[in-house]
Amino acid sequence: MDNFKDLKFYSQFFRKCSKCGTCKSAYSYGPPPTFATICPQGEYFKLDSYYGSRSKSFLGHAILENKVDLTDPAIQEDMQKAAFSCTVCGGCQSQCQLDYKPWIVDYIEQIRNHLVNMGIGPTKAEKAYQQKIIKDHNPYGETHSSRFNWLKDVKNLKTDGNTVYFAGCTASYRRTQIAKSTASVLSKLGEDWAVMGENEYCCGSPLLRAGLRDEPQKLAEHNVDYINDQGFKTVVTACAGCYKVLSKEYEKWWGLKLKAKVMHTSQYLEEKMKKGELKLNNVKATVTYHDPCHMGRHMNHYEVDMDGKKMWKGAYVQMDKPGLYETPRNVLKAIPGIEFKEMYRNRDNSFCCGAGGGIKSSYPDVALETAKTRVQEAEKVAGVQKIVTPCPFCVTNLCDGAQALGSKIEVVDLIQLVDQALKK
Amino acid sequence: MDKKDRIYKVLTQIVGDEKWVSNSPVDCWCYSYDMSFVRPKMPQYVVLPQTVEEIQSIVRLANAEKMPIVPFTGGTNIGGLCIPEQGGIVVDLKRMNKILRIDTESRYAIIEPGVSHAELAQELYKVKARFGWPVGPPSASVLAAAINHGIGGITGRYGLNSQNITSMEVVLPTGETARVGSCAIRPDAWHSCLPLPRLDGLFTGWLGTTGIVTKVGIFTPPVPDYVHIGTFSAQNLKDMEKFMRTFSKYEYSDDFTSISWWLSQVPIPYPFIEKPKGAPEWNGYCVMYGFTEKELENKVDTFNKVISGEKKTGSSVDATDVPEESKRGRTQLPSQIVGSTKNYCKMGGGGISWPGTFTPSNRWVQVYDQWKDIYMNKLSPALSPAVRVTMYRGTHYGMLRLMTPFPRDRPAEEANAANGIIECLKVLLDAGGIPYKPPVAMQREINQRADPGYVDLIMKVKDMLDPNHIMNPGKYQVR
Repeated sequence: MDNFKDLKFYSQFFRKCSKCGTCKSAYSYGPPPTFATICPQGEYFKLDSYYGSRSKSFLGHAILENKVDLTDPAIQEDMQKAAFSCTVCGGCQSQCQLDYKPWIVDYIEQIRNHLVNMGIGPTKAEKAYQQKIIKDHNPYGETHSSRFNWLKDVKNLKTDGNTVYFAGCTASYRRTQIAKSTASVLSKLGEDWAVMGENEYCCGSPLLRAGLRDEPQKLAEHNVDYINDQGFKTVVTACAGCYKVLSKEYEKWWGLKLKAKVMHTSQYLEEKMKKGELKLNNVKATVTYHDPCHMGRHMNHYEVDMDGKKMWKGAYVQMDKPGLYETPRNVLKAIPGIEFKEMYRNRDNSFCCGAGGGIKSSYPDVALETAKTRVQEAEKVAGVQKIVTPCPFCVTNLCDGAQALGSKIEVVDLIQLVDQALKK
Repeated sequence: MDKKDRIYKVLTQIVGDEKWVSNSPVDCWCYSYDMSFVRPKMPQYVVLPQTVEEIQSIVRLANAEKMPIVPFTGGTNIGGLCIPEQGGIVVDLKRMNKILRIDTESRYAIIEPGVSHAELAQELYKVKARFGWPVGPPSASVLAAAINHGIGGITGRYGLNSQNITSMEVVLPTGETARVGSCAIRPDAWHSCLPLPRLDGLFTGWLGTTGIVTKVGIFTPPVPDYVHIGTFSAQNLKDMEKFMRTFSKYEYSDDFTSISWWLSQVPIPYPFIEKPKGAPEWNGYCVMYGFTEKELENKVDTFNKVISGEKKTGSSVDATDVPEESKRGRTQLPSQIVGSTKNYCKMGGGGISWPGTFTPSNRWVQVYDQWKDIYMNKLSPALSPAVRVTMYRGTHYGMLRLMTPFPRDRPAEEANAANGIIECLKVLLDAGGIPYKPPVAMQREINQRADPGYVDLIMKVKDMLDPNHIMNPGKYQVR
C-alpha cells in the first residue's frame, strides 16, 4: 500500500525533471527513426505549460514554492485549466528517462488533489458528476435503480456464483451493448457468473482522476466489502478504467484487498483461449487496435531503487512489467477472418482517445479533437474498417470523433467482436 | 484599458485567437527557466504565431511598446538562452513546424523553427540523408541548434551545424523580412550562402538577439553504406590529444570524441568519486563512414596505424574492445537516453550546465588539469570532472566541455556547481577557449576579456539591426 502522499512528498522526484522536453513527443531511433506526437493536452493548447510531464513539474514547483499568486481568482482559473485539462494518459511518462518517470501519473493527480484542497478544483463538470456519484453511484445522473436495465432480457440472472461481472457505469448506462455482449460471452462460455445488482457502485475512477479522495474511498470500501462478502473467485470487467482501479488502485491507495482475482475480459478470454475453450467463428473484417491508457501504460510497472541498494535512493531502474498490450491483441488476432493492422502509434506510444482524466466532461473540445486525431490515424491504415478497443469510455469518445469527422470507420469494443465470433 | 490588457488584445488580434496568447503567470512561469543554473525570469506574455506575417506584426508591436521579445522553440538548451532577462514577450515558434522541402539531388532541406530533431531524422532517413544530430533531446529544434553553432555526429567531417546552413529567412528586429544566401536572389533557390556576402553571420551565434529566423536551409548529406566505430583509451589527456590531433589531420572521421572517466559513467557520479585505480582516464570513439568497402578499409587501416605509431612513441593510447550496443549509441542519434540528459544529470538531480567551449586542442591539457583542480579540490561538495573533447573538421580546434550536474532542490549545491562553472570558465578564457551558447554570467566574463573593438562592433551591429533593443536583450551584456 502506498497511501496518498502529500504533494511535498513528490517534490523530491519532480525536481529531478531536467526540463529536457523528451516527454513532449514519442521518438525511437529505430532504425528507422520514428517520431510522433504523444501529448493530447500539449497538441491542443501548444503552450509549454500544457506539454508533457515537463509542464507538470513546472506547475508543481510553482504551487509548492508560491511562484504564482494562487489567491488571485484569475490565476486560480488558469492553474485549474493547466492542471485539469490533461488526459493523464501517461504518454509523457513513457518517454521520460529520468527518476521522475515512475511517479509522473501519480504526481499529476496529486497536483489536482492539492488544488482541490486549496479550493482550486475540481472543475465545475467534475463537481457535477461528483454529486451524481454521491447520489446515484454513477457519473451520468441516471438513477441507481436503472443501473441494470440492460439485463432485462437475461434469463436466470444470478447474484452469486464463481465469477462476478463488474459492468461499470459507462457500459451500464451508455454503452449497454458492451455489457450485453459481455453477459452473452460469459454465458456462451458456460461461466458460472453473476452481477452485483444494486450493490455495484461506480468504481471511483472518475473521482480519483479529478484529484478527489474521500468519495472514491467510500465507493472502494463498498465494492470490496460486497465482493469479498459474496465470496466471488473472479471479478471480470470489460472496462479499462474499472480494471485499473479494481486491480491496482484499491489496494495501492487504501490497502483494500479483493480476495477475488481481477481480470479484464481480454485476460479472461486469453485464458480460455489457452485452454482451448474459445471456439471462434469467422468474422471478416480489417481492424486496428486502440490501446486504452488505463490498461496499457497505466499498468506498466516501474522498478524503483527506493533504498538505494542497486543504484541510488529513488533511482528509476527499469520498466519491469508492461501493461496489457499483447493480451487483447492476442484475442483479436485469434478471431478467424480478422485482418489485423497496427496504427502507427501503439502500445507505449499509443495516442490517447482523449476521454480520460475528466476531460470528456470538463474540456469536451480537447476530448473531441483528440478523438478525431486518433480516428484519422486509423483512417490512414489501408483498408481498416473498424477500430477495436476494450474500453467503453474509449469507444464512446472515438465514436464521437468518428461522427464529428463523418468517418466510415466503425468503433467497436473487443468483447462485441468476440461475442459475434463466439460459437453458441 | 491598461497597457497589459491592450498588448494582450493586440497580440490576440495578430494571431487570430486567444488560444495562442497568454499573459497568465501560470503559463509564463513555465517559460521562466530551463535545465541550467540561470535564475528564473518571467515573461509578461507568451504568443504562438504560425506565419511570418504574424511574427512581423509581433515585432512591430514590441517596437512600438519598447518591449523585449524572446524567440523560443524547444526550450531545451542548457545556457538559459530563452530565459527572458528583461521580461517581455516570449515568441514560441513551435506552431511553425513544417519541413518545407527535402531536396535529395541538391542535398538540402528547408525547415521552419519548430521542426524537431526527431521529426527531421524520421524524414531524412526515408531518403537516406542525415544531419548533425547532437546529443540533445529529440524534441529540440533543428533550426535553433544550427543558428547557435550546434555540433553533431557529423561535425568531424562536415563542420558545425551552422557551417551547413545554406540559406535563411529572417524577421528583422524592426519587422521587415530579409533573406540571406541564394534564396535572397531567387525565392526557390536555397542551396548556398556563398558566393554572396555571409550575411547569415548576422544571425548565427547571436543568441537570438538580431532577429527571428523563420526558415533555414541546411545541407543534408547522404548516409554512407559502411560504418566502423573505432574505440580507444589513454591514461591521460596528453596522450589522447596527441593521438586525436595526429589522426584528425586525415579528416577520416565523422565524429571523433573522447570523454573522461567521469563522463563515461552512466550517469555522471554526483558528487565526485575517485576513479578506480588502473582504469584509463580517457576513452574515445571514432566514427568512420565509407561509401565503399575499400574507402572504409583504408580509413580503418590508417586509424590502426596511427594508434600503433603512437604506441611506439611510448603513448598510453591503445585500441579498446567495446560492446556493440555501446558503439551503436555513438551513431544512433538523436537519442532519448542521451538527449534526456539521463547520462548526465540523473544522479545529480535535474540540473545541468557547462562551460561548453571551442578550444584549440593544444590547450586542452592545461585547461583540463586546472578544471580538475577546481572541481576536485576547491568545491564543496567536490564535483566530477566529466569532460568531453571532440575534434571538429580539421586539426586546429575542437570542443572542450565540462558537463556539470547539480541537484535542483538543494540551492547551496546548485550555487556550488554554478560557482565551479564560472571559475572553470575563467581558466578556459585565459587559455584562449571560447564558450558557446553561454549563459549571461559567462558573457560578462567574455566581455571583460574582449577586444574593445569587438564589443563596440557588437553594439554597432545591434544598434543598426535593433535600434530599440527589443531582441532578447541582456544576452550579450552590452546593452
